[in-house]
Amino acid sequence: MDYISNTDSEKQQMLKKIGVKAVEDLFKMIPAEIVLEKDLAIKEGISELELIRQAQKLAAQNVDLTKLTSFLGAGAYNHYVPGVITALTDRAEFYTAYTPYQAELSQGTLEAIYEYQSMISELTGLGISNASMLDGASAAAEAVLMAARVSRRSQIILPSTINPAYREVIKTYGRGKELDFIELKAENHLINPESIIENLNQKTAAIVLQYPNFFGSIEDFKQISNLVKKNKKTLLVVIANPLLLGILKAPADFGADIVVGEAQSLGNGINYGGPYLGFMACRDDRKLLRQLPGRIVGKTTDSNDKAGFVLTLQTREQHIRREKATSNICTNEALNALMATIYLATMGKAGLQEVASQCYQKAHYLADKIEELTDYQVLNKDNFIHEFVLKVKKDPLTLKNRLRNKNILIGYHLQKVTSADEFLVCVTEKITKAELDNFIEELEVF
Amino acid sequence: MEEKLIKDYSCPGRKGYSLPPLEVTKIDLKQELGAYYRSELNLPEVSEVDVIRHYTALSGMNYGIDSGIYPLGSCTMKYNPKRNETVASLPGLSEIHPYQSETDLQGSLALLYNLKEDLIEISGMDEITLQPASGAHGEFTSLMIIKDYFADQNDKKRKKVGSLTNVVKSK
Repeated sequence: MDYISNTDSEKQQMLKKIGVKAVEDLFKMIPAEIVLEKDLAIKEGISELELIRQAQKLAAQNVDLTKLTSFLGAGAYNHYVPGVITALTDRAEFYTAYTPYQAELSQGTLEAIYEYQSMISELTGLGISNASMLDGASAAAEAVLMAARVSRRSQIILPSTINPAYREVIKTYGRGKELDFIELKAENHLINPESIIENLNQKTAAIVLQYPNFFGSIEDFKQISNLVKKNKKTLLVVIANPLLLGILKAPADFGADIVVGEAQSLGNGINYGGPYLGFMACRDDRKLLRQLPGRIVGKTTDSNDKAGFVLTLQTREQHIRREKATSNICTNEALNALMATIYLATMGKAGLQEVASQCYQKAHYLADKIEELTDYQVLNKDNFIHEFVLKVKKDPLTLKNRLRNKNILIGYHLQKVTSADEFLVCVTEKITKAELDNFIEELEVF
Repeated sequence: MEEKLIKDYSCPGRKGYSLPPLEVTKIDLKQELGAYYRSELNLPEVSEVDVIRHYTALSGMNYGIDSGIYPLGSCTMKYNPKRNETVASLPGLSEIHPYQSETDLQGSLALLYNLKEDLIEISGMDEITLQPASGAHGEFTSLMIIKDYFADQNDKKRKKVGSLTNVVKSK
């Protein structure tokens, strides 16, 4: 089936009206040498019923998280998505709308993004938020490029306690920009502030820290921030988990200049890694605002004094010469941002606090029980929020496979990050006490 | 502005969420987190029906492809078949974690592989990446590939990117 509704006779009528003999004549401007003269070797279209059956068959070849107890996190988090979100984002007025360039046709999306920006401002404690970015990793990379522009410096301190995938993306974006990346090694899954002193100098554009860091721990922000502030012009970039900001102090309170992160955890499904949405906020400072990439929605009044919303400060993207733009590779993820906005509205003050608290409480219950076992150790047991590093004495791969056979995903294997006998274990509110107890039992009998 | 902001529906103590009981012994977060504990959080306090009515009202202030003709080109405003939404929201295809093992994700990997093969046929190219998150992201990826291609051949002088309408210096 195709989706072109015109019948043959309607097509003939239209051709006659515009004075063209055949549909093919409309394509005459295409030079003969580039016209495709064969049929593409692509399967014929099928009916909806056949398609759904094929898709269901493929879906059945996956083992999805509804069939497993998953302790996988490491940047993509399995939180509960309230039904209200899908009920609203399934409205075609939202998901078939164009990017909101034409304000008169997009007041709904624009108002929702305006609310999103206010909520991101509240969570981060920073005065300015953009309308969202592609994802957390590219938002982090854009923050680094922004810090280099603002400070007119080229050195970036990039500790190994940042998500390794994010570090890769940041370094990729930095190629061709002549940035130097200083990688700091972690000690006990934390950055030693002393190691920052050694590397801070007149070339340092930014230090990037994750909150909580990749291993789930909280860095010594107070001391690090003092060091950064002493080195004028150096910016503190923080990659934060927005859901955990329900219980964790706003990064602005300890001196963050730019805060970015992945907002998938806010009401967006886990979806095999995408589409996700990055968020980006900065201090309310003209120098920073002028370099903030992406678009911003502002509130204004029209010629009849009626209040409304528009895209503002658009000189940052394709509307000006590309080398003058703050970024050419960012758009906003409007529908994903809408999901995050509805999530934050639905959970509200008490709900976000409670969901973050449940993650914390359950993760600590699990870690305490694991510590009682002989062959396992929680390496950062005194400093973690909802993810921790589990060290195992027995063969890690055999353990991982054995648990998988019991429908348990032990977590993210840290073999390429720290050590082959370590796993990053994440607990969200979705995991029940029975599942936690079962996991502990399986660890014990292995 | 025809619809007030969600925060303007807020009323202290009003709730729109529900979570299962905690089940485990509760630790005092204030004591645990110390200097990093957050006490203030200014988010809306609204009911589920407030949320539904507010965002339904906002949806009415939008115009999309399903509302009528939309002759704008840069983001290719074409009709999106509804079956796509049905398929994409199947739990077997959506409730999966990117770090699950390949063995557990054969369905999605087959789907991506077939899409890749079709795109190769359409583009006439030899290989493809489905990694970029947007069109501009894809263009950026291509430029990086081109840059690395010349770097591999020890040809480091090429700095210009030409197009039919203009030539800009690459930075």
